[in-house]
This record gives sequence, structure tokens and C-alpha cells, in this order.
Amino acid sequence: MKTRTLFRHALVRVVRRPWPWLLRYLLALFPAALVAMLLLVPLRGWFRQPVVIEALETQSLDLLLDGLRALPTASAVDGLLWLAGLLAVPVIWAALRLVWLWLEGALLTTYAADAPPSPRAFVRAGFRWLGTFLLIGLLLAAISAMLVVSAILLGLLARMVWRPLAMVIAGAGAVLIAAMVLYGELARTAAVVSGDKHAVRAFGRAASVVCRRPLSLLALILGTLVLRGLLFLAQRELSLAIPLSWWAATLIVQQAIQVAITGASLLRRAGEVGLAAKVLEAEAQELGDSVAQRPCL
Amino acid sequence: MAPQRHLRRRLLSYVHRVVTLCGLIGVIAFSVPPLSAQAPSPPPDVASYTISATYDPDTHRITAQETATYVNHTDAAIPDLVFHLYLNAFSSADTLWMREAGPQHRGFSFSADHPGWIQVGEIRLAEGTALTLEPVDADSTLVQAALPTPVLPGESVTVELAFEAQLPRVFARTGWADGGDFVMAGQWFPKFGVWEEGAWNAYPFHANSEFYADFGAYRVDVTLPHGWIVDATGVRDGDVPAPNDDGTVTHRFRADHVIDFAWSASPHFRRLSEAAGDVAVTVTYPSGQRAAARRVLSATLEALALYEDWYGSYGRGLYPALTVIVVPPDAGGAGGMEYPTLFTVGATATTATPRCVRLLEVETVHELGHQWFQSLVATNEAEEPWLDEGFTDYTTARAMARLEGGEAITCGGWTLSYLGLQRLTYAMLPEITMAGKAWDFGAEYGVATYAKPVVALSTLERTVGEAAMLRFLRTYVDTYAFKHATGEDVRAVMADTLGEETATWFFDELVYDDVTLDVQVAETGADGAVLVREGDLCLPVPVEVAMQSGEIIQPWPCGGPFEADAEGWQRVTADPDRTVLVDLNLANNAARRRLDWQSWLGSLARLTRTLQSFFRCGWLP
Repeated sequence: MKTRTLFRHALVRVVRRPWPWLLRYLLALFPAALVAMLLLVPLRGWFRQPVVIEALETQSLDLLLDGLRALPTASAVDGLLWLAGLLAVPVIWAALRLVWLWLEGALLTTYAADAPPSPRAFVRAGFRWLGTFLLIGLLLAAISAMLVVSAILLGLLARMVWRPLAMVIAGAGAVLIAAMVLYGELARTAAVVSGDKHAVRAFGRAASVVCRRPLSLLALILGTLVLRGLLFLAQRELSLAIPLSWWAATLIVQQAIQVAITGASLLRRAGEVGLAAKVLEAEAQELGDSVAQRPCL
Repeated sequence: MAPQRHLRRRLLSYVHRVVTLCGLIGVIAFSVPPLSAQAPSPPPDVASYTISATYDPDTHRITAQETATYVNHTDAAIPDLVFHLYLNAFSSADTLWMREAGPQHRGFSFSADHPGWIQVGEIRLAEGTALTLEPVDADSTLVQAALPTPVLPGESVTVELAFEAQLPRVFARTGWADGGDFVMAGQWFPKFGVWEEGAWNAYPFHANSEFYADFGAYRVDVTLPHGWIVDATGVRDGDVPAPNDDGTVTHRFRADHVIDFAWSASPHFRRLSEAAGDVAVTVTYPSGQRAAARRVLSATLEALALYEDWYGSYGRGLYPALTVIVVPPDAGGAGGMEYPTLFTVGATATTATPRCVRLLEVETVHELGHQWFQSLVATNEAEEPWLDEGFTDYTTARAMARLEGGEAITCGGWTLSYLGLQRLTYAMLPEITMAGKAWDFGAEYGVATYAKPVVALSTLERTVGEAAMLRFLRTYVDTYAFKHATGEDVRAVMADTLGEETATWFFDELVYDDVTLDVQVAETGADGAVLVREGDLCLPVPVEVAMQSGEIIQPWPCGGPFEADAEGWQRVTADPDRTVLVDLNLANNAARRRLDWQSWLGSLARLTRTLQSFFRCGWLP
């Protein structure tokens, strides 16, 4: 499958099966908006201080630090709200990690299926793959931990011999960790495409995809990363360009970019599904097997 | 010849002579450099040294012979000699210095297993009379030798002495590190005090104190094992010589018209060099620190151009070289220190911080600033530390606002200026004077000598305007180049250039007093607002009241509260131009009548977006 075709098919999948896109976007938006409210309602007094508004507008810590020292006395309720907001951040982040895993199973199933599943089947698919994905995650975490420890030890040894070598090892370690993370993602994709819940075999199937279509995979990953990078840059520049008081413009522009960034992530996943499907189908044919099991819905 | 032709010929000849004369005058005029660019008359030498030193990297000890000459340029006869032996402050954890310090310096701890000290052996006058050194303080950081005959005005005295200096494991700016492969030798030799006003100005070494010395000539030989790379104050005298018979190499340096001499060495040094006009700028760094060295060189060159524009040429044209030493990561205690024509950077935090935290640039431009405020205008760092640190740190704030690459912290789109950092520091402990001896201050030394002067001088600049401020600073430096200036001297220059009234409020209220100021909006209502001044510092500020129809600016002289009676007012702001930076908090200077809901919603939108990105960030962003 040519890379261009791969991207096109992935784009069609993502656009024509919009539920994962919408869910993924909303599952980040609603908690974020809730926490933002919890944190900003108690600070509404700030917005009677022109200097603080200027600090937020110009992103000046000089003025913001003065603002922090001149905070109007908060009521007990405001204090509790703010504390709740702060505490909610790590809690929500942790909870969302599980939710993403569930959603990942559901969206991969959606992209791998011949036809979009029903909402009920969509939900069930997420739960079906949750255990396998957790196991894949644990295995990955264990391997990554070993890699990190090895890199640190090697780095310390290298530092004694030649300091720059330690930097090289640190860089290589970081690249390896990122590669492991992507490999885990591919393993989850391969598991869903093959319909096989065995975690270790999923890693093997992922290896097949990497070995058989390395360039296509690389193009897919780099292409979507570049796209997300450009979107982040655009978001940053536009944030600075739009005055703070133009809240509607800020909301529309930033959320449009958030939708696009979400879509770019899903484009990669849909592309991985397409790639895995082609590779596993070819392998099955080579082995004389019939077409790989379809994921059960 | 016809009369007309004769006349014409005479006229032409006359014009020709006038033009030639004008041309000659022009050539002469343009070949003489303007007054400000001319090298000044070199200052008279007062304290000069010839030192022949050998450093043993295994024992970290310097063995040396020193010939020291002191010239009496005063009206009073000198009956004795006083020397600083600064390293003796590090001989144990029980010295005055250590008891005052904790014993730690800038976050680095003293290692009692690796102390420092100086011992002077024989000391005699040049004609052979032996002298006896008596300690002035219990730790022998100050010693005195009575003279058989006083040194009369206009005369000089030369002494020859042998000494050993044990360098500590890097501590308080000096010592060895990196397993012995790095040495920074600062305050390593017996050094004269300063004879002035009929007495020696020299104190036992206190923890907060730095140094005070006279200008003179230095001729220093440093012998080290072959393969060690050495940099020092001044310039190398000749090329690196061939090794001696015992495998060592003797490096020769000379420095003229300087107040101190320091050197640094390592077998692992590398160099980056660039010419800045007539000045050879060298950044010497350990292997593995090239990225930091590049940043340091870039900041040095940029700031050098700025400082020469503001304060006049580096060393007034008498210093041909400028050396920056980037210390190794485990020698951070030696980083961030100034010496004439040489300074060090690399206190650990500065090189280990991310690129957007430009503390390395801050450190670099700060230490470079000392080449004017200390090495050139040699104020007394023990008695009036704010004069060199304060002016240098103010210079640092000005430079950081102009350097390529942004301010002190420029991360994630948010900026914190160095001035802002010092305002915050000052606001933590504002009730402090700037004037005072170094040891009068405890933990508040940093506020008194760095933060408050930065804020005070920045307030002064905004009050009088940049042009006037630069005129004052340039006059100060020009007047006291190669001299010792006191606070009162600075006041006199300020009065001459900026006016007596300005000098009075600056010195009486900010330098010698500890009064503070916080202008605040105390009350707001439908019909107006009330502003008050907290603190006794009195600086008049304007108040701007924004109405639907436009803005009204009213003066608010010192005195009681300001009542802005203005029905329908929208916003009130005291000091809208932010001139009075000594105001402890600028955020409470202004208030809106109503909540700015639109900005609040805009902040909500931005924060929501930030949190969305954060929540989405799991295994991959």
C-alpha cells in the first residue's frame, strides 16, 4: 500500500466514523473546562486589577508575581474551590489514562471493522480490549524501566570515560523510550486487527508490521507528528495574537485547533490499523491461512 | 602679463593656499581622537607585585616568592605595613568567616578535610632588614609588620617575602576541584591593604565581605606541570615557553593598572576566542562545556558593546585582553566572581538550567559589569558593597533587557525580567538600607547590596530619563576611573548631573534609610476611589483616572491619601508609567470599577486549552 493511499484511507476512516473523534475530543474538553472553572472562579477578583490582566495578556511574570502577592482575600468557599481544582488535575489525568485505554479499544475496533459498529457494540469493544491493553502497558512499563535504569548506569559509566558520551547515551535512551511507546501502540493495534487478545503475540505482530512496512510506518508517524507540531505552533502563535478580552475568538480558534490535533492523532491510529491489516493479511496468505479473524463485536 | 590675468592668478594662488591650509587643519583634527576615546593618563602605581609561584596539583599548594612595593601617594607617613592573608579564613570551620557563614557559601559547603591557608615565611625589606608579621585578628586573615622607618609621602617601600598558600577544595570563589585537575587561584597571595586618610583601610575577612586594594603592576610567573593550560589577569608575557628540565612549564603574565591578580589552570581547558575591537576576548572552558562557552562568549560580546557605549571603553583602552573562565560543574563555588580582566562563570545552577532560563547570561553580563564597577572604579567592597554590586546588578538588568534571546527567563512564552526578579527579591525584605558594611548584613546582604540598588537605580532612571541617567553614570565612571570612590563621591556626581533634589531623595531615603512605599487603591465605589501610600518613602506619583470620555491625569504629591471623585469612572491607576519601581507592589496600584468579564472568559478559554493538552498527554502527546 502506497503511503499516500494509506493516508487517504486513514482519513476516510476517521472522517466517516466520527464517534471516536468526537468522544476523544469531548473527553478532554469537559474535564478541562470543569477544572478551569474551579481554578478561575475563585480568582475573579484578579480581573478588577488592570495590571494582572495586562500580565495575562502579555505573559509577563514580572507583573503576575505582583498580582499573586496582591490577591484579594479569598472566601472559604473560593479557597475550597481552588483546592478542589488543584487536586482534580492529577486525579482526572490518572482517570483519563484508563478511559483512553477503553476508548482506544473501541476506536481501533471501529477503524478495523468493515462497517461502523453500533453504539452498544462500540462500548463493548472498548471493555473487551481493556485487559489486554493494560497487560501490554505493564509489559511496556517494565521494559521501559529496565531501559531507563540501564541508560542511567551506562551514562554514569560513560561520564567517567568521556563526558559527551553520556549525553549521547541519554539521547539514545530517550529515542528508545519513545520507540517503545510507539511499539506498544502498534501492538495494541495489531491485537485488535488480528482479533487475538494474547498480549505477547501482539508484540510479535507489531514486529511484523515494523519489519514489513518500516518506511510506510515511519512516514505515517512522522507525517502525523509534523502535522500535530504545526497545529501546536499555530495554536501558540494565535494565542498570543488574539487579545485576552476577545474570548469568543479565542474559544473558536483554540477549540478548532484542538479538534484538528485530536483528528491528527486518530489519523495515525487509523493508518496503523490499515497498515496492520495489510501486513497480517499478507502473512496469513503466506502461511496459507484464511483471512485473519475479524474482531468480534 | 595683463593686469586681469595677473589678478586672477594671484586670486587662484590665494584660494589654493586657503584650501590647502583648511585641508591640513582637517587632517590634523580628524587624526586626533576625540577626548572620550583617548586613553587616559595611566594611573600611578600604588601596590605592585612580582610573584614567582609554583603550584603542585597533588598537594594543591602554591609555593612562592613575592616582591611587593607600596608607594605612598598620600600626605601621611606610613608607619607599618598591613597584608591581607584571605585564605586563612578557610583554615578551619571555627574562623570568624566560617562562624558568620554557616559554614557555607552560595549553597556550597566547606570541606574541613581540605582547608585553605597562607603562611608567610621570611619577610624582609628590599635592603635586607627582616620584618616580623603580627596577626591583627585571631584568624590571621590580616597581619601587620612594623617598619623601622616610616614611608614618607612620595616614597615607596619594597618587601620580599616567601609564602605558601594551601588552596581549599573549591570554596568561596577559590580552590581546586575536578579531582585536582582544575584550580582557581583567587586571593592567593599576601596583599597590601589600602593606605588612605592616615590609616590602613583593611579588615579581618568577614563572610559577606569582598575586597579592596590599590592599583598597581603585576608580574607573575606560575609554574605548573607540562600540559596544564593557564589563564590569568592581564596578558601572557611572551609565548608559552618550553618545558623546564623537571617537566614543568613556567607561564609568565603581566598586568598593569589593576587591583588584583587571579589565575586558573587545568589540563582539560579549551578556548574560544574572538576580537572585540582592540580587546581579545577568550572564553576558557572545560571539555564538555562547549555549549555553555558559546553562550558565554555571545553574551560577553553583546554586553561588552553595550557597556562601552554606556560607560566608556573597557579598561579605558589599557586592558588589551578579557578572559572568561567557565568552571567545571563540580567547581561551582568558584563561578560567578570578578577579577580585573578576568571573571568566572558557571556556578552549577547556571550551566545546568534549560536554555530558556538564562541565568548563565545573567551571570556573564553581571561579572562583565564589574570590569567597570570594581576593576575600573575601585570602590571599597568591604565598607560599601552596594557601590560595586548595586551598580553592576543595575547594569545587568539593563543589559538583559537588551540582549538577543530575551530576558532572564523566557519559557513557554512567559517572561520574567532580571529587574522583575530583583523587584521580587527586594519586596521580600524591603526595610533595609543600601549603605552599610558587608558584615552589618546577615542573610539580607543580597537584598541590601544587589536587589534594592537595582530597583532604586531603575527608579532613578525612570524618574530622570535614560539620557540623564547615562550622563550621570558616564560622569561617575569618567571621574573615578582608576580611583577609589565612596558613596559620598557618587552623591556629589549625582547632585552635579541630576540635581541636588534628586541626589537628596535617592541617598537620604533609599541609600541611608530603610523606608518603603506601597501605593494602593484602598477603596472603590460608584463615585470614585481612594488611593493611599503605605510606608514612609515619599515619591510623588501621578494618578490617572479613566472615564468614558477619556483619561484625566492628576498629580499626587507626598502627603495624605488621594481621593478620585469621579462619577462614572472606569479605571484608576497610580503611576501609570511605572516609574516608581521601589513601589512594593504594582498590581495594587490600579483598579477597575467593574470586573473585566471578557478577560476572565478569555483566561478561561486559554486555561481550558492548556488543560486539554495536559489531559490528552498520556503515552504520547
